[in-house]
Amino acid sequence: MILGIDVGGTYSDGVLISNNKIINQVKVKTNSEDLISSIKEIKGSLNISDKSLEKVIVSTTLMTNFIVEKKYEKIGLFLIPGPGMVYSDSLFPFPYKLLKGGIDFQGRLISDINKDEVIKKTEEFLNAGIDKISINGKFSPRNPVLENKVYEIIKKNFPEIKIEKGIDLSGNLNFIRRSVSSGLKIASEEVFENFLKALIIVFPDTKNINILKSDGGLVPLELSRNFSVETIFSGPAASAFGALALLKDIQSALVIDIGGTTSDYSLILNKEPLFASKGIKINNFYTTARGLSVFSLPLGGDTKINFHSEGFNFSINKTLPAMEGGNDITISDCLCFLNEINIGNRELASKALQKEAKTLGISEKDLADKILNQAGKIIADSLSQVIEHWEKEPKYKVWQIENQMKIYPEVLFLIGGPAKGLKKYIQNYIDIPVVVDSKAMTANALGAALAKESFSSYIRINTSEGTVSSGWGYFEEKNFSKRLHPDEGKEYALKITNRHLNNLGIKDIPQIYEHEIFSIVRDGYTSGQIHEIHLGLKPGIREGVKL
Amino acid sequence: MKKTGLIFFPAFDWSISQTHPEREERLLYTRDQLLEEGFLDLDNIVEYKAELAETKDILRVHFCIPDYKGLITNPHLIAAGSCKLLADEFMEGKIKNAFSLVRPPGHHAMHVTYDNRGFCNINNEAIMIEYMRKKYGIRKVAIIDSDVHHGDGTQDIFYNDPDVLFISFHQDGRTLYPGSGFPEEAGGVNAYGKTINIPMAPGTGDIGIHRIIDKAILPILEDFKPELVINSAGQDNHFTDPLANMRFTAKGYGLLTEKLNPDIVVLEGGYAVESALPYVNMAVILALTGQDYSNVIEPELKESLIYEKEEVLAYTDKLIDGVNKRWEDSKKADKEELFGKEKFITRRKNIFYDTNFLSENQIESVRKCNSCPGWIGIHSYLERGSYDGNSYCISIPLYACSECREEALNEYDIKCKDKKYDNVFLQDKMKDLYLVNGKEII
Repeated sequence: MILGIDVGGTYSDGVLISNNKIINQVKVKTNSEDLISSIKEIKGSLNISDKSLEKVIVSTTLMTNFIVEKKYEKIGLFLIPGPGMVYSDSLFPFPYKLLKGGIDFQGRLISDINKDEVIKKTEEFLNAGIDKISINGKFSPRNPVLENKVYEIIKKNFPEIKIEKGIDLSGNLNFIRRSVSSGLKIASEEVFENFLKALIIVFPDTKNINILKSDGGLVPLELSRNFSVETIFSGPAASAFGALALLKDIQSALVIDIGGTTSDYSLILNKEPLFASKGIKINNFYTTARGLSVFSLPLGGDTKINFHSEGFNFSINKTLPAMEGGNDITISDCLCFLNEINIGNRELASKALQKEAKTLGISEKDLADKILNQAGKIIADSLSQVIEHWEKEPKYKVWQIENQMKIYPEVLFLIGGPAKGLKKYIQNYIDIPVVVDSKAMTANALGAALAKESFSSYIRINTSEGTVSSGWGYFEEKNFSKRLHPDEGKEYALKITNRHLNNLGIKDIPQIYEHEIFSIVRDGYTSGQIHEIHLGLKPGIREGVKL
Repeated sequence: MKKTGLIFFPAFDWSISQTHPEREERLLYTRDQLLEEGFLDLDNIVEYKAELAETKDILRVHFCIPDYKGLITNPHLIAAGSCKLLADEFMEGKIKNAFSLVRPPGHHAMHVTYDNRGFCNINNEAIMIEYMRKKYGIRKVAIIDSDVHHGDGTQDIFYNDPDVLFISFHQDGRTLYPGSGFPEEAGGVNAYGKTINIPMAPGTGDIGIHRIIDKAILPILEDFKPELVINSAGQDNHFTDPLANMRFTAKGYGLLTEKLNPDIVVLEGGYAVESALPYVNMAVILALTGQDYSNVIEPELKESLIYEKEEVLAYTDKLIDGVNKRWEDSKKADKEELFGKEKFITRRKNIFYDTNFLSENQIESVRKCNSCPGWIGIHSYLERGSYDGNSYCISIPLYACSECREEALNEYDIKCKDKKYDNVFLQDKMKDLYLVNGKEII
């Protein structure tokens, strides 16, 4: 049996698959103080025997909460910025110190580091009570020599210090994001480790425990430590992949996951979720984590409704619904009163609605209807804006501008708790069919249950400098012929990628998405080439499951 | 706070030829630098997707002979279209300023255009400006061309327009392509003084250029009071540029941008793709967003490479005096004395298209007018080239007076009947109507 779990901000879901069939699903309230207890609750209510479970995939808000709540440990960043921007403190969530030294975009050394400075500044960190440091150099992916040097100096002189290199986490260009991600990784190690330990206790007999990443791919528990930052925002990915499974033959769909606090929009185009071109931004900090292109509307089941003399409007804050004993009316209360959802106490919802309806001089039913109609209109009205945003993603090649991306979703696919109830209210305002699947309530857990391994990276070969760099931080000096045959470039990229994937326990062969070759012209002559090869494993879901 | 709008369009799949300066690699390292610095994540920058301009936008500025179809390709339309998009965002108040970091460039493309000149087919700035004037009713525009090569195309397009102040500072034309841009080229009869050329001595750098900006350009801008300031930002005054001989630095470019405070910056030339462009572009963006660019230091920077000789600075001072004197003199110049008493002022031009070695002959007649830029008639033919037709081109400016417009339309009818001409073009900017031989071009 395969168990998929999604621990969300408000609810946690579980889906159990056996013999390629969903045999059970469950939804519980998330205990945000103790995520493991929510996982235990799911396991308990699905009544699973440990022995029968072959695989567990967990999508969790652990890291998201950890970062949003700023619970990270005290750590320091060493930055080797070289020439360029003067960075402001607001970009980094941690104390940082700048070191001398610089590398340029071709990986050429501009200036070296100063050993004495490294030692002096490390002592300063220690004196400030910081014994975990992450080292990040600008253009390290093009040549990690300076990060490595600093690492060696600290290791030799301060063996008690825990150090991390940004380059070991990501080799994608973006100095700020690499620095933030590597800092977050080292600052969350304890929390993440404790979570993994607790997970092993919940599933003692399961050899195959996996964590879901923000790109919707899974990573085995024992390798997940290196991907801790990439587990942020795995929820939206899980719901999009869950929707992908439920969409069956539909090629393109706009998916809205209506949760407690927000409605998250994602897009499926030709049976693939659309990824964001940049990494995930969380709490105003930029990370290297790759995620789906998701837009959030601050409107969900627990959105508080404000009443005033002319009527009502939606607050951007969530509240405890009246049906659960709260004082305010929410969208969920309206759905509960109209029997559109079967959670909560209908009497409490009715009572709360009654009071406001009286003031407005209408019936409770009319008020609930009006509120839901308004929510439906807001969601429908936002669609064109979201689509335009996707269509207007910057592009850098002539053919991409010539062939403008036009998005025509076949359906609007709703998932999440309030989805079923809100369907008709949204349909009132849009032309394409609004679809809700009976399994939509737990689509995110389904997405987790069906997740596969994922991978995506750039390989860059510079035949003029004789270097190879990659998205996962691998760097190598190697002589190539100046004009490298495209096939040879591809072959080499596949060779190093396969080696890397093997280390991650992935057997699938990556696919080459794009291969660009730039001639490097110096003094009027071609001195070499830059091959940029984008490859990966297409994100997808486990096939063959009957839905 | 409003953001800086940016369109970065490196056209990674387009080149003039494989090792040509305008090749795929040109903005590759600028992209690397932008990405690695995390520029595109900054809260004070908003990046837009490049967009195609419409054919009409090009016809509003150029006479494309014999046909626009052979001249304008999509890369050109994307560069011009990106400028347009930023112009709209700026005019709608969504951004505080903008940088069109696009290729191919445009400032060598003239009013009449047959082919590529100095890597340019169509003039991105001029297309953007005429679009803005048409759509938003702007009149007074200042263009500061900081490319090392004289902005001869832009000069040609606005030479007779008193509402456009065109200032180009560049390496002296006696030592560099295109060989023009001398102080005497000061504007046509209806716009005398509104073209300002500052031909700098080779070897001028940060000190000299900033003297020119402080002592000539800024006071003249102050005096002219434009509604819009555009910077044609060539990056080839840089001390490492392979095609020129100047000594400007990335920080110097940052300071230039800060001082000029342009509304829209449009990338022109600059071919030191590794040693200059990533750094200069970074400095320009930082200056536009109001950030510190003091740490933008080129790895190759050495005092010996940017040192400016005393005689170069002394020459610069003389240039500045000349510019200021001419500016003041132009206000009270006797136009009859300068241009003669004729109703039409005629200029003969020979224009060389360096990419395919075309040579064009032009006789340009401008209607002298005290109330508008005057209509223009151009007789053009190729002395050497693949096309042997005779063309007559009539241009009615956007802010033409009724008399000039009437006259121009009459003249168009006359020329259409004249067997001597194979093509008779009409560019009626007021009506946004573009004809050839009596038919709409598009």
